[in-house]
Amino acid sequence: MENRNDILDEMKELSPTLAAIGNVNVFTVPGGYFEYLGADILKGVEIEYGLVADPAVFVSDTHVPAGYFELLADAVLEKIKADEIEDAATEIKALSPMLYNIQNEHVFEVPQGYFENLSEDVLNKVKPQPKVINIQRHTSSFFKYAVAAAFTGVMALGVFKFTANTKDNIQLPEYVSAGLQVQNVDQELAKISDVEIVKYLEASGTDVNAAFVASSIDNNELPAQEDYFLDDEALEKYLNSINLDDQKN
Amino acid sequence: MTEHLDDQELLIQFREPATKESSFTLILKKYQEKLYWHIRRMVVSHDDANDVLQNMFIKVWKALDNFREDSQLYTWLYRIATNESLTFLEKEKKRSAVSFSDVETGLSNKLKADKHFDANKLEWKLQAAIQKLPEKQRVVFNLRYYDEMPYEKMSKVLETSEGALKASYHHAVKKIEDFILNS
Repeated sequence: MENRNDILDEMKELSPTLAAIGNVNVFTVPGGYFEYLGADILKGVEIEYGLVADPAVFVSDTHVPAGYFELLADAVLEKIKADEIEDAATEIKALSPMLYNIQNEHVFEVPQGYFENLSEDVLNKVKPQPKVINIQRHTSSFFKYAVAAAFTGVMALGVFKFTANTKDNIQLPEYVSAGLQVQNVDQELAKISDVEIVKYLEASGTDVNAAFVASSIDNNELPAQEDYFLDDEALEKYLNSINLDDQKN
Repeated sequence: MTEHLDDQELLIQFREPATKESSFTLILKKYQEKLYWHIRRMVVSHDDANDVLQNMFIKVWKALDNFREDSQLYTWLYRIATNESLTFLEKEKKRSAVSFSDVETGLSNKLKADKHFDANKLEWKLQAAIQKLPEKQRVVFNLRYYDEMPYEKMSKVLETSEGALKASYHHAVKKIEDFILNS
């Protein structure tokens, strides 16, 4: 190993001028710089790796920054989350380079203009629709009430006949009691099909077509009173406008 | 101008009768493509995806008035889309009265029915492999792989811990890789 004198001798040979200047350091450092250098480097490492939320909390003359342990957990979690955001692509690259390489290959197609029309399609479905009066339902109700009236009549007669022939308070048979206790006529009538009702009306000699006309007329739609004065055929025209075959279906 | 409104402003407008429809349209346009693709990857066919997407937006229309702003609209919409997709698949399962593996076969068949399907292409093999995953693992894989959703957000969408989601995603990736390499 060369000593300092050897190096100086070498310099004297090479450049006596430089050798005469001597080895003097012209630069200075702040007072105590080297004393705190190690601590400052550690501080930098901690900031770099996100272990401290705010560098200002450091107090340089202590071993652990003020509030260090209180903030440590939050700071670590924050760092982990920050890493997560950037990492969906990095993660798959590390897990499976094959999947990473085909990540942007999309195989499915969408019909042309699909997204342009979607909002309109959805809005049409959510906006309130105008109410449609269901004439068929009207008709059914009519028939059901007509039949109910007929059944009630038969039952009333039967009960009247039964009770009229007895002077004492005789207990009614169970099926009669059950019939008299029907509370919800609508519910009971809903169980009877239209076909059964039509069959019943035909069997009992009722004019089914006339009944259809009567049941499909909405009072609000009938010609106004003055229409009858202006046109003798007002009612006939109105009746002709109703297609009975459609009403039946 | 209105195209740049953020979710909070759109929600305020939705509560005003005069701007209800226009703000809903903007919300729909803002999220429709992301949600469509999320649903499409779950149910495979366009027709099914369209049904699920439209039904979910109809539900959104009804529920948006009561949407609590302590959660993000984005995660709420993803949650609804995910639930609607899973409900759809559940109904398919019941309708065909078959076992879960048969529903997988059904989805694979829908995939094969696509006019561009090519069993030799890697990207189609990937789709076939995805259909082999259990439903919830498939959701996790799709959200992470295609939507690049952070686990933190995914945790809010699926109401599952971040650790469980991460494990699920890693398992899914390995299963898919095995399927592709061995098929």
